[in-house]
Parts: sequence; C-alpha cells; structure tokens
Amino acid sequence: MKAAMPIRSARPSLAGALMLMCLPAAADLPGGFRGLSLEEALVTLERRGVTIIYSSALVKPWMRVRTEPAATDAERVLAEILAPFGLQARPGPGGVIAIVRGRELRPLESPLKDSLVMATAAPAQSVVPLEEIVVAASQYELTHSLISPIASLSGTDIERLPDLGDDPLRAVARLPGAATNGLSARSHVRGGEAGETLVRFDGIRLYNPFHLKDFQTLFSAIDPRIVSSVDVYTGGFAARYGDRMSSVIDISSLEAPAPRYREINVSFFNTSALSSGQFAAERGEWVTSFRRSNLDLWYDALSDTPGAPAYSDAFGKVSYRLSDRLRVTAGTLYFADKISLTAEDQEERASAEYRDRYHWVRLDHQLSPQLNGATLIAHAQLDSDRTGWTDLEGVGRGRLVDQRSFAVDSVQSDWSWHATGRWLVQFGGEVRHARGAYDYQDEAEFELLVDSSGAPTEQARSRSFRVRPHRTDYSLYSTVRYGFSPELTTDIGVRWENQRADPRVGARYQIGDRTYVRASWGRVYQSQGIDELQVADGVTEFFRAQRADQASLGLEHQFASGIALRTELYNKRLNHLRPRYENLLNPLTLVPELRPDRIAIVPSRARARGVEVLLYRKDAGPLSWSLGYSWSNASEKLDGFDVRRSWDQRHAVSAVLDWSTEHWNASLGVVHRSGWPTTDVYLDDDEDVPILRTGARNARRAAAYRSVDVRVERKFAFRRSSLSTYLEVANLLNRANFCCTAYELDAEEGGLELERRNTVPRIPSLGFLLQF
Amino acid sequence: MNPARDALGELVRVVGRRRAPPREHYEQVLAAATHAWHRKLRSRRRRRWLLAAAAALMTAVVGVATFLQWMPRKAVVATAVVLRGNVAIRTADEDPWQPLQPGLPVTAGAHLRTGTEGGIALTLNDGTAVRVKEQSELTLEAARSLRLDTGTLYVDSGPRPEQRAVRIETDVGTVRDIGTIFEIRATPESLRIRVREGRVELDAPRTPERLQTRAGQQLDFDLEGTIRRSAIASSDSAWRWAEALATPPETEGRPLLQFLVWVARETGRRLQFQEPALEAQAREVVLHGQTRDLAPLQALDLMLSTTDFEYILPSDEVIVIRRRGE
Repeated sequence: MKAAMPIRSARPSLAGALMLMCLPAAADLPGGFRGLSLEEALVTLERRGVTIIYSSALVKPWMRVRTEPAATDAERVLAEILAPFGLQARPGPGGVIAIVRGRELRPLESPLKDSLVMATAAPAQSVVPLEEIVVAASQYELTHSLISPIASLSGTDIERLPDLGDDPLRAVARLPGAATNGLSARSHVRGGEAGETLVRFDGIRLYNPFHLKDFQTLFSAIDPRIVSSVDVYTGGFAARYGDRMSSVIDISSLEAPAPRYREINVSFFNTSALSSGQFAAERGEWVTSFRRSNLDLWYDALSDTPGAPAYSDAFGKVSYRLSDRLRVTAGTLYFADKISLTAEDQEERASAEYRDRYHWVRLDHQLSPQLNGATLIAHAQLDSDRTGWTDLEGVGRGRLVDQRSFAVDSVQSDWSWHATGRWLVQFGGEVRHARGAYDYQDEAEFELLVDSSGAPTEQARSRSFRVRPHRTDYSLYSTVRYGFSPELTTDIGVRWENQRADPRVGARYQIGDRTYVRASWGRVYQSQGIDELQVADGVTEFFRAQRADQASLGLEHQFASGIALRTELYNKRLNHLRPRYENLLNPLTLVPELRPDRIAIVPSRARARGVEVLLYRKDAGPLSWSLGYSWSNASEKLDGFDVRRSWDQRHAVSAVLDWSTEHWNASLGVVHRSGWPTTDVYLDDDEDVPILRTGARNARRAAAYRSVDVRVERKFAFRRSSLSTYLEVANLLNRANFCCTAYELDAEEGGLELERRNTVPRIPSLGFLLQF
Repeated sequence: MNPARDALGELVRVVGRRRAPPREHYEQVLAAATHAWHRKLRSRRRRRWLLAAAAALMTAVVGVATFLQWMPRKAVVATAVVLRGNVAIRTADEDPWQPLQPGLPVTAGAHLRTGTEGGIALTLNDGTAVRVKEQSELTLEAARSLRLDTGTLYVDSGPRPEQRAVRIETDVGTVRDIGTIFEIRATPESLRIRVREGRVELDAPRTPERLQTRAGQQLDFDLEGTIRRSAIASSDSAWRWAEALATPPETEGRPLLQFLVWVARETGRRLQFQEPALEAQAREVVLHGQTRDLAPLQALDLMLSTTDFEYILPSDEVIVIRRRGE
C-alpha cells in the first residue's frame, strides 16, 4: 500500500510559465475591467483567447474589480485583478491558466499599497502596480461602458498630482477639455458651465460638494484619503448618467484594505484621520474618516483681518456580505463649513455656515453570473446660512441674508445583464423627491452702474423672498450593447427623465491590434436642481431643462513603445439655456451679488467644439508622464451675436511628470493655457450717476495662464507602519496669473481705479502621513 | 306627375345631347385603354407563369427531399471524440483507408484501424464509451455491435439493462457486457478479457457454456479452448492507456462533485471524503472552464487547484478528498 501523499496541484511547468509570460500580442487588452465582477472580468479575458479554469470556491460573485488594471497584457491584467482577493494565475498543463489561491499574496488596495508593501517587505510577486491615470481605451468586450472614462484616477494618483490640497475634483482640471480659473476646484468641461458636472460618490449624487461654496469653491468636500478611484467622463456618457450636460465624475470610496488599518495625515491645508477594518472573517468591513481644515489656524496667525475659514468633513461606512449574492452597505457623508471673512480694506464682510449630510443604504445584488445590480436608498440634507455686507465708497453698499434648506430622498436601482456573449443590457431608474426652502433678503444701493445687458439699472433695490419649492423627479434608462464582431461594438441607449427622452448611441471599432476608433452622439437634458434657484439674483421661478447634443469622434492607439495616444474631436450644442449671473469685472468678492457689475447672461444657445490630444506613458519603469493638448472654442449667442463664453480657452497644454521609486516620489505638473476673455470698461461720469461703459463683451483676452507645480515625497518604512513626508509647492515660479479686476472710484479725483487681481501665488505645503 | 322627375327631364332637355368627342381624342383614349389592357393581360400571364414555376419548384424540392429520405443510408453508430496518432477509417471493404477526423460521425459497417502510436475514443449512439488501443482493427457493424479483428478495446457501457448490452465479436468468440467496464484483447488465435466493473459473458464455439468474467478478474482464452483466470485490480496500471483516452466531462457550470465522480470512475477508485461535510461542499462548488487532453488524475490536479480541496491516494482503491493543507 502506498503511503498517503498529498498531491500538489498543477505546478507551473517551465513551458507553462513561458506561456504565461508570452501571451500573444493579441492579448493586449483595452481597459474597461473596473466595475465588473471578477467573474465577468475572467470571461472577458477568455474572449480574448486566454483559457482560464476557476471555481466558485475561490472566485465569488461579490468580488468586483475595483481598480482599472494598469497593464494591457493579459498576464499582468490577470495578476492585477486577482491580487486584491489573494488569488493568482498559475499556468497549468495544456496552456490553461488556473485561478488559485495565492500563498504570498496579501490583499492590498490603493491608496495604501506603497507603504504597506514597503513596510512588510513583501516579495515582488505581491507588489501590484498601482492604479494610475489610465486613459483607457474603450472596451472591446461588452464591459460596463463602451465609452471609457477619459481618466480613472486612484487615491494615490490624486495625492501624487502636485495640486492644491490633494483635491480629487481639482485634479480633473489637468485633463484635456477642462478649464479652470486656477482658483476654484470646479472645472468647466468642454465649454460647459461649472454646474454641468454630475458628481457621484458610491453611486450617490452629490449636490455642489465643495467647501467654501460661495467663496470661489476653493476645495472639494471629498477627502482624497477616502477615495479608491475617480472616473471622469467628458462626453458620450452612458444612459445611466443623466441630468448634467457636460461631465460626470464618478467616485468610488475606499474599501478596507486590511483587517485593521489606520492613518493620520497632517498638512498645511488639512488634518485627517482614517480608520478601517474587517470583521466576521472578511465578510464585513468598515471605514471611517474625519478631516478638518487648518486654514482657520493659519488665517488667525497670518491675517490682520478677523475671520476664520473653517471646514471639516467626515465619512463612514459599514459593509457586510450577507451571502455571495447580496452585500449591504450603509454609509454617511458629512460636510460642514463655518466661514467668517473680512476684506483687507474692511469694506466687505461675510459669514456662512454650510451643513451637508448624506445617508444611504446600498444593496449590491449578484442574482446570477449574468445579472447583477445595485439598489440605493438615500437621503440628503443640505442646509446653509449666509450673511454679508459691503460698503465700498463710490461703488455701492448693501447687505444680504440668505438661508437655505433642502432635503432630497431618492431610490435608485441599476442593473446589468449579460444576456449572451454578444449582448449586454443595462437598465435602471431613479425616483427622487426634493423639497426646499429659500429665505432671502437683499438690500443694495449702487453709486455706480454698469452699462451692460443684464446689469442692474436701478440705483437701489430691496428684495425679500420666501420660496418653498418641492418636486418629484424620476428617470428610467436602458442601454443595449451588441458586439457585431470582435472589432465592432455598438451601444444604443435611451434615458427617459421627467417625460423627456435622451437618446445615446455609440460605436467602437478596432483597427488592427492597437488602434480603436470611437464615435458617439448623445442628448442630455439638465433640469434646474432644487438647490440651484438663483434667488440671490432675484430669480424665484425654475427654468425649463437645458439641453446638450454632443457628438464626438475619437482615435486611440497604443504604440509598441508603450506610449499611448488618445485624441478626440467633439462638437457640443447647448440649447434652452437658462440665465446665469456673472460679475463682469471681479468675482473675487465676498458678496458678489451686491456688486453693480453683477450681470445676467441670457444666451439663446451655445456651442463648444474642440480637439483633444493626450499622449502618455505609464508602467515603463520609475518614470511616467502624460502630455495633453486641447484646442477649443466655446461661444454663445447673446442678443443675436456670437460671443465667447467667459471660460473659453483656445489652447491648453498640460503635462505631468512622475518619478517613483521604493522610497521616493516626485512629480511635476505644468499647465499653460490661453487667457480667458475679458471685457473693456471705461468710466462715463457725464451722467448723474457714474456709469461703467463696456466694450464688446469678451472681445479681449487676458494674458496666458501658466503654472508649475511640484511635489516631492519620501517614504520611511518601519516594522508595522510607514511614514511619508511630502512637500508640495503650487505655482512654484510664483507667476502672477490674471484672475480678475477689482474696481473702485477714486474718491478725490473721481476717476475709475482698476486693480488687477491674480490667482493663487506660490503656496508651499508640508505634510506627513503616518500609516499603521 | 312627379314634379322632381319633371324638373330632371327639363334639365336634360336644356342640356341637350352630349357632344361626341373629337376623333383624335377618341383615338388617344382608345390607344391608352388598349395599351393598359394589354399590359394587364401580360402581367396576368406572367403571374400565371410564376405561379406555375413556383409550384414546379416546390414539387421538385419536396420530391427530392422525399427521395433522399427514402434512400437507403448507412446509419451513424458512433462519434469519434478523441484521436491520438494515426487512426484510419474506411466505410466499406472496397474503399481506401483514410485518416479519421475527430468529431466526425462513424457509420455502420465502417472499419477503423489504429497505428503504432494511435488511439481513439468513440461514443456510441447510446452513450457507451469505446476506446481503441494502438495497433487495433475493428468494424462497427451496428449501433451496439462491434467486431474486433485484432488489438485491444476498452468499453465503458455504464449501468444499463441487459437487453441493451454491447456485443463484440472476435475470431475466438463473442463478448457481451452486462453493465460494465471491461477490456478485451483479441488476436486471431486468442482472447483476453479484463473486467474492471460489472460482468462480461463470453460465448465461444469451443466452450459448452457461456463464460462469465467478473470485476477484478482476467480471463485468457484461445482457440484450443484453454481457459486461464487471474486477478487484476481496478486501479492497476494496465488500465492507464484507456485513462489517457478518457473524455473529460463537461465541467462548465457543473458541480465539482460530478467531476470527482468521473475521476473516480475513470481511475477505478472509490471516492471518499475526509469529512462528510466536504461532500456537500463539493456539490456546491461550481466549476468554470474545461480541461482538455489530460488524464483523469492530471485533470483532477488542475481542477482542485482552483478550490480549497486537495486529494490523496492512501491506497490503490480510493481517492480521498480533503481540505487543502490538512
């Protein structure tokens, strides 16, 4: 009788290992894995010719690819998508790849990987390439989106970008098609207004998720430490996204990366703490974080004027996997601002409090390998209270009291059904009930008037509104994706929202192994949100929904050298535009509504068109880079004339250089863009009331905007923890980039004094991150 | 008198007789009407011809189909599922030998021949697995009737009623299975029967009665009537050649337990679980993907590597499944 001998399973043979290393060039894969279940991702790879064997013992329905693989070859894609679950691909006999439990692998998730891997001196096998700015090609297979996001950024990517305050939404400004004034964290995308961006967090729609909301929205309210990834769509987005015309920022929250993980982060801008863990044999997990701004401390110490711009935010979630088919998550987000600011000359003062709370329960269903979905029940409560006064000699004086409160309850469900290997159907819907209250008072006296369409014409005004809107919105959508052939995939969808139909179509065609052509056309309606009534500008009625029709044609190519190219042409037409309000000269005031240069812009329609080119190289050693260029033209029809939109930037170049080693990371960001349009003004004091006459609107341009930003980080690994220290400098060269023009009348000589205001000067920031 | 009729008559009288149209107008209208009439006639004739042609075509199609249906055809009796090395086929005695392609149907009366390193696995119409070793030659006479001229044959007929038994003729005698797994090796002068499972009967002219061979037995018989019996274990290495030609079961979406049962049957071992709960777990685990061209134990290695199970072979008789690492 033979001795009892354990039989080892499918050892990798030399031939098998070679086979795994040398998967054919045809296995170069486009992106689109993120968001798929692990099983769907494996099926996708199988369709690309990789023979895979696995079982439900290790590959569970709840396992989901959270981060887009950086690699493009099947071997590394497999390694990346399996590693977070402690699995690995092992070559077997007959050219088969078996999905087996990894012995050395430890579950690692962004953004902690660097430090934990370093701290535990894990073997090279366990090191998974970090997520990165993957400007992924559109999906070849029937994955979750035919039109891929222009960028997928992980929490680590966001931190490494040398941006002010490690801001996940500010990072969007570095992408082609985005335009920002260099101060605000909000971006204009492809010629649209800043408010045309849909921001979702774990599927929950966020309403104006910024700190310092009425003060240039300097920072977003999302702590980058709680971000797992950010997907940015600038056009051709799927039918599941609606109600915002220009872009979608889809944020996924961090998942507990280890049974127990904590971190403390202190920088010039913020102090934050994060704690997370797993329980019930990894069936459950939790993440909590709290962040507070340090700006109030610095402001106290450095400013002569009284004030305190304080803000904080918190996040918490608990997730539990009831079975392989159902996972329940309860989450909460809390943003709070308490701001008190006084202008240097004591001529303006404003204080505001904002409290935004989001609570939700999310059910992730996996009814079968083909059918999965998520159902969300959410409640949002947005309260704000703002007061301000201004007394600027020769210009005007006034006061403002503004209270707002909104509650939004919503139920939404999104489903994905892989009907066959060629068909994918996505469908879902949402019901949203919103109610709000605006209490507003405004008194203003102007000593100066502006001769421009939409400007105040009376010297004095007194307003007092109480508006109590409420409404119920609903939407249904369905997208059918069909793969006519391995080369051609089409996407036809429609979104039915508040009795309006938004059709979306897209197609993707593969030419050769490394080139893809994409085309899309879509119509998107954007209703005026219940929190978007321009009460402060005297508007008490909601306008009808705005409409955008966007067509785009793109080409993607992966060079053999590892460099990738993505280029896209777009043409966007905007109709039914509602009035917007801008300060013609100086928006950098504490109470912009009380200024006489506040004008209503009432375009009948607008158009944006452009070309975007992005060249990048990742995963080619310690050095990664990207170079983007965009040419654009954004104009609107005003009083029968085509006028540049205020954020029209003809040329924009953005480059990022990133160098990473085990202990060091350094990144350099450069932005150069055309200056934004400006309008000439001159004083006419022949009238009883001084009048600012204006030249042709937006006929001139400010000087070009340039900024060089750097970030250097050093990591120290200890036995059970790691410490990173980093130095960031925004606007390293301290270039005086034009922002706007402050104005006042000379009290003695009566002339108009114009003073140039710039965006951010050089701002250094030192920070420490302790992970344990 | 009816005043209405009177008014109508008055009107007709006032209007007077209708004037005849000019001659050229009349000719034009007549020509147009005649042309339309001719066109309609042509169209009607064309339609009749089309209908007739369609009817003829349909009749022809139905006739050909009926003819083909009634034509005598050789029945398909088996399908070749695994091929190794040289395997040749000829459908009739007068036909030349041709290479056999995997997946092709094999008709009644076909002759098969395996080369020096050849081997073939067939599936008969009733699901019976037949594997042919190298240097063998046989004829598939009917659905459940084979003739082994020379060489070695392995048959797994599974548990089935006796009346559906497979019959194998050799020069020495006729072998009939009774729900079993067995192997026969035939030469013009001798016959060897090895039974792995179940029972086999041999009907030979030189024996007064049918000879039965049971599981674990080997029977050697020759034209002289010599009978020699010996023992052979179901997991003996002598069965390896047949295992190498085994066709893995469909595993995509199937329970692991089903695969384990197949491995146990193919290797002639009993399947045991270290704990009873493991059997239930093996029933729950669903496999994805397909193993190809692997012997059963190789396939088991591969499949179990994708689970938390492993196996041991504590003896020649059993495969024990246990949790990995225990």
